[in-house]
Amino acid sequence: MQDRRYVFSWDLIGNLDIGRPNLGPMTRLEVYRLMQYAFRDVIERHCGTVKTDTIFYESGYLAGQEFYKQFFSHIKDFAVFISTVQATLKDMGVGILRVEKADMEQKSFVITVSEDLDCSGLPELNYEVCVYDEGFLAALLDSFTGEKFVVKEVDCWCTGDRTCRFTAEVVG
Amino acid sequence: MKVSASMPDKAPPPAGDAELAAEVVAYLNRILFDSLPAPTVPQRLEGVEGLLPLAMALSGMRLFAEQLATGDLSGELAVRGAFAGFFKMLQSNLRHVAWQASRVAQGDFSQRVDFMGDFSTAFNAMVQELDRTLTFLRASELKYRQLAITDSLTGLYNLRYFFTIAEKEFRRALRHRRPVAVIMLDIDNFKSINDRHGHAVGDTVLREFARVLGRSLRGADVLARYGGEEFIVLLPETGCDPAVAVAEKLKKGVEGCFIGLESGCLNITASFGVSCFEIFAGNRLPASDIMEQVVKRADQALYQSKNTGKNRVTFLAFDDPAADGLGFGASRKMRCAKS
Repeated sequence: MQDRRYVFSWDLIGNLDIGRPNLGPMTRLEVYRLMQYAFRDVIERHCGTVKTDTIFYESGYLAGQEFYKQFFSHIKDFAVFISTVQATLKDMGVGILRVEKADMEQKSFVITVSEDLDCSGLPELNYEVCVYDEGFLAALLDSFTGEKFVVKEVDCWCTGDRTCRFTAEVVG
Repeated sequence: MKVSASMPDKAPPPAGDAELAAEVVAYLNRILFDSLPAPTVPQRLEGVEGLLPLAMALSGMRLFAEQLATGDLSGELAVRGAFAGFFKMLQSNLRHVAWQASRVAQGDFSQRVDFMGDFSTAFNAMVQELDRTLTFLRASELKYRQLAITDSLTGLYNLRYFFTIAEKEFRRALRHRRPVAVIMLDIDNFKSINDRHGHAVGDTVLREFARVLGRSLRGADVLARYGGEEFIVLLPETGCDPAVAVAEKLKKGVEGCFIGLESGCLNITASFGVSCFEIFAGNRLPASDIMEQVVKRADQALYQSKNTGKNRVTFLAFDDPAADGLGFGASRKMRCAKS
């Protein structure tokens, strides 16, 4: 695609010290969800549900890649990687990440995120909504292991569960 | 008929419906409260709208809870909603704790739990205590290992450890056909130093002597206290002439060493014996025999230095037949150290 204006780089996050000397880097969660679900609504109207999910997965993936480069690319040990991701996501108010299963040989993981930024507290919807998170987690795992993972949400707050659960399996 | 919460504003159901409702309640009670496994829906209640999925959901949660209660965390619960969600959250927490425990077992003591109330406190205390204990044990192990291989007075390797290293070094030398040499040395007139100045001064002399030797050797050389005032040096990758040169250098270093005493300065000297193995052609001896022979020759050379005026270096070749008649004590000591 030509004439792109917004190829992502961390610079687009901006200098928050200069830009928000009084308000700082935090904002209300409602505002984040307002933007996310407004995007989702409009994109879905334009593209349909399936395409919207694809767009959100890929957006999460891109965000995860950049997040990894910014905070975790220096880490070599898996345990350190997980504990650093946990601490970072908690500190930034993204969610409480935990590992239920980590089979490094089979490259198979089960990860949960509680108090999730995207969904915790939403009304029950009968379907999982954390597609962006799926892409985000896939990018973190891909970036760390160098392999391609597919992440699928199997339990979600929106399906009545208290914690979002994701399976991650290596492709091929 | 729909199963729903009590509806006090509405009229009671007809007698037939009341009887059916009572059977539904009794059936659901059995699922929830009986110790026996949940029964299937009685034929008479099969037509009650919504009862079958409700019964299946309750039975599923009951089975799931039972698995959790017995420590089986592998269960899967297809039921959705808040009630099932709490069970799944508990399963998720327990699975994560199990993963954290496995990390602790692999030595990752940074693991902490902050989502399981009293259990978190106990788990974290246990991990911290394990970390403390293991750190202490590792430090102790290091300390005792060091004590087991060193001579407490001089801090040099002891004889047993010297031969552990020397055996490996001789095997390596034989495998790669590289030269290896041994120097044996002994402080001259040490007994008279002890007699004249006392054992405390004797100990100071030994420590200072060890320090001077250590300062003059390469990192790859192995220096050990052989016993009493005797010391031994293993020189890997060193042929006969360089080994003699090292011994001469050590001799000069000792000569230039003045040990300060309350009554003045004490100057000491030492005698040296050198041997080496560097000719591999025609050799049929194993590394251990070669090592024994080299140490024996160095000891015999030391004996010659002692008997020919002290403060000197004597070299004896590995295959010097004339040396066999000379006295030596190293081999016997070596066998003791190795046993």
